[in-house]
Amino acid sequence: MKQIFIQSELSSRSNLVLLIGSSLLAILALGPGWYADDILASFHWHYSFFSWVCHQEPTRSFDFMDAQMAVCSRCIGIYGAFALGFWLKGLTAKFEIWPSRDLALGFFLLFLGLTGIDVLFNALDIWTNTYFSRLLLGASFGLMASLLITSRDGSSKKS
Amino acid sequence: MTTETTQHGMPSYWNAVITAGLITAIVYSIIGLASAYLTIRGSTGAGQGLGISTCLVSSIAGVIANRMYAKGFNLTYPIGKGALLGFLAGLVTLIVGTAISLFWTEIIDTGMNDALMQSTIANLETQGLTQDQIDQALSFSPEPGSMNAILAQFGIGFVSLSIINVISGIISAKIFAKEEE
Repeated sequence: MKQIFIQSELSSRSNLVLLIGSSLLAILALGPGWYADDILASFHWHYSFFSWVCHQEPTRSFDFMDAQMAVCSRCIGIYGAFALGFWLKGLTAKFEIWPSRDLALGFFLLFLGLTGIDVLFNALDIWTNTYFSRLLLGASFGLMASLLITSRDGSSKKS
Repeated sequence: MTTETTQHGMPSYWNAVITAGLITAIVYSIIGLASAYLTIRGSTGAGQGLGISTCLVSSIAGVIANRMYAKGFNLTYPIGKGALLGFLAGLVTLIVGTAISLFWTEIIDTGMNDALMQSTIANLETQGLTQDQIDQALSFSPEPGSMNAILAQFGIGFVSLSIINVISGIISAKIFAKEEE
């Protein structure tokens, strides 16, 4: 396989950028309830911002401080846990406890598959998922995504 | 198959980026239009059901672009390059998606925006909102189909699609552009 660049693990600077970016995204996803009054969901900029990436269905979204969150219960789990992964990476940077890329990829694909099954089975009325089951699966998927990004490259060639 | 290369001798990623953007924009537009028509016709449940399936669909541009580039040329590269491919694929998705939307609402079905707005107002009335509250809600967003609405939608789409496809690009680079052990 042709290698364009020398591969390296995620630098602490890159992790910091991802940590700040993903945390901001998670805060935005909470919606405007924490600072604005008289929220009319789907007309506030929080909802416009996430309208490209989430269905924002009121019956499938949590409220936060008396206003509907800007994303659904599954997506708030994804964004929240995605940010959490970078925080965990930053807090445990001095310890050799982070998973390898292959292990993280395995878990990522597992939870991607479980999420897909949950969506499909719910659509087919085989079972009915709940706010918290969607939140839990979304959070697992989001956490595995950030673990995968920050995972150690077992096959890296050091220069 | 001929391979276009950059001045650094590396294969060009534009083929993968444009293909990924086109595929994503077409899929997103089809689902979005179908969902809009179901909502206009009052099939709220079906419209919602279809809308739910679109969750995160717009992020697949970054995945497709990295998959095509890494596997097509048998390459490995760092996640920063994956993020770049995701960003560009998201940009292509936005441009093509906006073009499809404008083509549809300005040429194919010029009454669609108005019908969607009427349906939205009817939904707000069903929720028990007063006329003042409905007027306040509508004041948050520019008139559908106006230049302001198009620019606002494009601007918001640029930021959100860029972010989501940078993330999916980073993840995809980690999956597809790393050596097998």
